[in-house]
Amino acid sequence: MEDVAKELLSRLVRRIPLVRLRHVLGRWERLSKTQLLSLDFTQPKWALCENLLSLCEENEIAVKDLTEIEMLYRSEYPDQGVWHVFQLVDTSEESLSSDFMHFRDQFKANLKDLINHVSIKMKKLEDESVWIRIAWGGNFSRPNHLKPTYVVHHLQTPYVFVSSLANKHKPLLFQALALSAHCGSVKDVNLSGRCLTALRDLSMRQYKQVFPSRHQKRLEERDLLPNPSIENEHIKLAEYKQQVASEVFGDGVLPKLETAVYKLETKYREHGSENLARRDEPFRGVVKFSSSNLLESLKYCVSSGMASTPVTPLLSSITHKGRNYFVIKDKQHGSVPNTSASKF
Amino acid sequence: MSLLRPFSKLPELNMANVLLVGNDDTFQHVLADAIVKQENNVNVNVRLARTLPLPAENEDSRPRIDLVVLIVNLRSELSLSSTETSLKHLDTGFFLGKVCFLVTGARCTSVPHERLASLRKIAVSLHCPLLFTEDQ
Repeated sequence: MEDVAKELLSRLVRRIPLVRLRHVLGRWERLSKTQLLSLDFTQPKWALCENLLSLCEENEIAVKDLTEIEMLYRSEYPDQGVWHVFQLVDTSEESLSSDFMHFRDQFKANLKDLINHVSIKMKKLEDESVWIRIAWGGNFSRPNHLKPTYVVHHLQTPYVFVSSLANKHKPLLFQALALSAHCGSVKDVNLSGRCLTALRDLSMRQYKQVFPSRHQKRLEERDLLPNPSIENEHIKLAEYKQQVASEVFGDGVLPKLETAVYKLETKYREHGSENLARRDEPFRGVVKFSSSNLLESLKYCVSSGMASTPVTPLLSSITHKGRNYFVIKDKQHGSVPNTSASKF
Repeated sequence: MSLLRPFSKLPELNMANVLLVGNDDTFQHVLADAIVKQENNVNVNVRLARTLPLPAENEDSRPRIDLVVLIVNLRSELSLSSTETSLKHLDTGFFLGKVCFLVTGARCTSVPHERLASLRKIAVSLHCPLLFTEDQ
């Protein structure tokens, strides 16, 4: 077996936890049943790696087959690494087709036109998502399988989720995507996070949304005050806050976002000190909210009164526009700050 | 100014009303549950509020308040300042033994000393007991 293949295999065994590795190897179908049973998963990893290496050499496994292990692992456990969301814009009528074969052939052809040495693996899963693994090479160098880029695209939707993409490969990938999906260009949605399913739910609005209604749900119905001896003085206000929080952020299980970043490029405004306020260039600052489940914590802030209601559009844009990176600039005339998109 | 008056309504038989005033919702609920479950002989009703003055629409249905507990979370500056503003809306009749301060977070080392010191001064000047508690 080649060195590259050995290196890739040892890296996979090192990185993947044993339980998941066993599951993925079972799904891989390149090892026979007896071979799979002969692997002892209670050994230390280096011993397991050597056994696996000898089995692969027996079956004459190539790099191509090993990448399938990685693909299986990443698609089964999609919460590795950071995913960025992009959107295909200016789509024509024939685009957003659900034909996987057509998309696959076009994408492979287009990307290979743009760059000489590249290794592409595409797979369609049952939930209508297409997983693409790309190992980039240069003009004179072979594809680097140790740093692949993963792209997930749901056919018939304009959204593309990308992980581990270097800046120099970005234009190539986007051009290939644009050509194969028959759209004008690929736009950055400014949304990123670790949990792929959460990003997908947020982009496609698949979480449980609450719409403004005249009939507000009483707090008693929500089982918050089961005891009749306990009464809340501000019950109407509390209900209103709960309702607003649910309207802005949704109900039930919310998509799991980790951060929200606001980049400020506004003029410094303070009543007291005049020196800083008189400067012409904007005052730069970054505000970053991070949490294990950001939307839940923001929803709690609003419903418990820590954040004022009505909810500021800066926070509500996270769910309403489906993004978590904002650049805030001053309007040209006037002093009202506004949000605007920017290249990430 | 809308003051909360202690003696403007008639008391009820075998019933006491406690008003908990504080910012922290979850702690208030836990404390209210504990108070209600604790008393077997007397019926204790607990009312929860975030700050005084209380909303005027509840004025008629509200019973006579026998005890006002001001819950202060030393970890937040907002809690202390909202307590100070709430104090202004209490009639002086309450300070004859119907007000008590409940402090949480006193064991936290990152809390500035001045907060507890100023709270102690207020409690001493109003002749009100200052109790410490922890939410576990």
